[in-house]
Amino acid sequence: MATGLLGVSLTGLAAAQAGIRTAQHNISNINTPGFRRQEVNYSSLTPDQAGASFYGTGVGVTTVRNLYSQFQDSQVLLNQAQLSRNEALSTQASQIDSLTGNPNSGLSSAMNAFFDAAQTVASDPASNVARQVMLSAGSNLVSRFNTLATSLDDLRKGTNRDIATTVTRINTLAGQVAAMSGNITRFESGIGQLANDLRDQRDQLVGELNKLVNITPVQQGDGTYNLFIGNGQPLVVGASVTPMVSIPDTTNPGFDVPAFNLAGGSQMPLDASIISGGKLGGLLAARESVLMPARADLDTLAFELATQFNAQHTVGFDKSGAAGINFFTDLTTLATPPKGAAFGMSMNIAMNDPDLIAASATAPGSPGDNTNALLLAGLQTAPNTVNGSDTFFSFYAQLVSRTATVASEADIGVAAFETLTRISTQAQQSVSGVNLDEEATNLIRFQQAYQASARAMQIASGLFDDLISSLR
Amino acid sequence: MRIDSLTYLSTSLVGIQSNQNGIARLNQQIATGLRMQSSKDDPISAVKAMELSERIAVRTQYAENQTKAELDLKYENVALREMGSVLNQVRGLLLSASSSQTVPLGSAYSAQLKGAFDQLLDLANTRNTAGEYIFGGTATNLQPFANGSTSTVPAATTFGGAPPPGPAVISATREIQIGSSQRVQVTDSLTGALSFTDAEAGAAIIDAANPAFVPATGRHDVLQNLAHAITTIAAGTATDENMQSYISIVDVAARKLNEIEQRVAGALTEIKSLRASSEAVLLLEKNALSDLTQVDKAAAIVELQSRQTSLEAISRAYALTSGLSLFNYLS
Repeated sequence: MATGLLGVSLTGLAAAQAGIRTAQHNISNINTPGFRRQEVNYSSLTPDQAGASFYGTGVGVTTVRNLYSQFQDSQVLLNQAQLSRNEALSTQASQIDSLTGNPNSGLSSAMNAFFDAAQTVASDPASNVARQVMLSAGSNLVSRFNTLATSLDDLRKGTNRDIATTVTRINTLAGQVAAMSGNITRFESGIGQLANDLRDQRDQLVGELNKLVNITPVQQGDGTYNLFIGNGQPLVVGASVTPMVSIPDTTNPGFDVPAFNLAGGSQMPLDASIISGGKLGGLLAARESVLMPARADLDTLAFELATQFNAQHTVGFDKSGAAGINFFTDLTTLATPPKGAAFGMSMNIAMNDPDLIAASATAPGSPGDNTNALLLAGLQTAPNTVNGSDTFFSFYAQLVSRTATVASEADIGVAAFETLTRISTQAQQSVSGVNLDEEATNLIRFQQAYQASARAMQIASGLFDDLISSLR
Repeated sequence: MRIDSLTYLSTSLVGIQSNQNGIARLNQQIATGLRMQSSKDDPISAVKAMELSERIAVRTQYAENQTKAELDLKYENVALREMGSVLNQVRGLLLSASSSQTVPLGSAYSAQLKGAFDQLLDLANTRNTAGEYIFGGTATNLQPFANGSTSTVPAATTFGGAPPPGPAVISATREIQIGSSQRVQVTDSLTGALSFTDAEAGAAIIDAANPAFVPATGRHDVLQNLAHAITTIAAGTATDENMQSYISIVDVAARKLNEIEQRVAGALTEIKSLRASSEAVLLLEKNALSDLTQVDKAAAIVELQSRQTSLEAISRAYALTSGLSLFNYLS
């Protein structure tokens, strides 16, 4: 290293250049996601001993480091995982909420209309118009059940697809993190300095991954990350990734569940109790707290309504005095618990003849008898028709209420975690974010330092000139 | 605290977004008139509103049933009143006719009685607007009373014991649900009025038309008796005892019809008082439902105004502060 008058100034010029270059780097990356502002660390160089004194030899760059707070970073990860979870949960629950709670697509208005029609038959049992209206209302109720069941089934398929694509994306990101870890180790072991920008990129990938499934990163001594999900299931260890797959859920037929593809070919399912955050956590929570119960309840309701209405209908007699037949197609053939009852509900094909409505309780020849019609209509308000404690309507209201409550809680969760994520991101950025005014100041600071060093160099050069010209 | 440039610039964005969301939501509320766009907006109110809607639907149906019941009962009332006046007329004729009158005079009485008989038979076979026999019990499609004779001399029969519809069907009455636990009988059977046992009449009555009358099981038939009277009075063979029998049977029938009329009047009163109370409750429930679901337009517009003001303020603040940069001052 050059020492002496010119040499000392040279180190000053180099140091100022390093500062300017870093400020330029910071300014250039102001919009780069995950970028952390960098700072040059300086220290004075080892002094020269001349006689009894030490003379300074200038300045050197120790390192360029990025500024961050591990605590703030982990806060952002935690909040972001819950925000993504609540967003996914809210989307799913809101869809089911608008299906079941909406007067146009929900069941309540169709059930009301159906029992209204049954009442009209009861007050005018011989009227063909009233009977026809009851048949139409019955068909409408059945198609409403079918539509709801189909929509919920579409949501089931959609959730399965979402889980599959999310798992694929998780695998991609986990692979990138592992690859990046390898790069960081190689770079850093080569020069013994931190590869700031690579680390930023790696952490950005972890952040993306964390939106999909909540991640606990554990930093290793060599700069690599081990990433754990759930209760400590390893996703990335060093440069190796445990791949995830989406497999059929054995406890809930028809639903898929994410799983780890373990070495040796076995698979480890990860349900909502293990994955509690990120989009995947939200999807699993929505499935378990809204979609599954809604489907089951809708099935129960369809099954009970059809079975009990049929039971009452078949003890009556139709307009011509013949014994009543099933009003709805018999659902007892479906497996119990009544899976797919709402899906399979249909009007009895023979019931397209309004005369077959069994309004009468006496056989034969009593078209004016409404005793059975009164009992049929009375099923609307009869207590204990479902689950031994509910009317058809109150049972449905519970379904709507539960769905709406989950959706509402998820909405509140989204709002809360949006705020928390914003606050923690701001706190994180207050350490790591680039401030242009600050960089402008830095530029000026280093520019002036550069100018001063250059001036010092000029003076040194002048000294030499003076010396040389005095010797002429 | 140190603040980075992106946070500095995006702080206003949060306020802009939240105000825009609020304005969009208010617009939707005002456009639809509904406070809740989906149940999740207020799960408790939404479910309460759903339950209220169901109660209102049921109650509205009961109100329709009340109207229908009222119509049926009024129809029946008219027929009963007519029958009463015909029986009165018959009674007058029977009183003026005597067993000892001449044949021509007897024929004249007989002809008048025949007219009354036809009228009574017609009324007993009254049909409502839908063409149903209102006194046919539950066999509303079959004529309940018929003149079984093809000759000029009537021999009316009422259903009874014959193959379908049997006596149970003809004497059955119909009820309509007019409240959650309230039903009202809207049809009556004439089997107790146009035919009755001694026990039902409350006295032992001689039955001229039916000499083999067995008091324990037999039923007196008003139409049959009237038919008998028409024959005997025309032929001049009616005895005093016969006349006594005819009159007492007509008297019992008139009394029985009157009892039915009173029941109908009672039922009409019941409907009327129930209607008044259920209409009040219905109004209450409808008001409660609209309170739950309808948007308060005035409040919504005031909030819209304040949201708009704050959105403008934030936008202006953003415009003022976003231009600030130290670079602008460096040359």
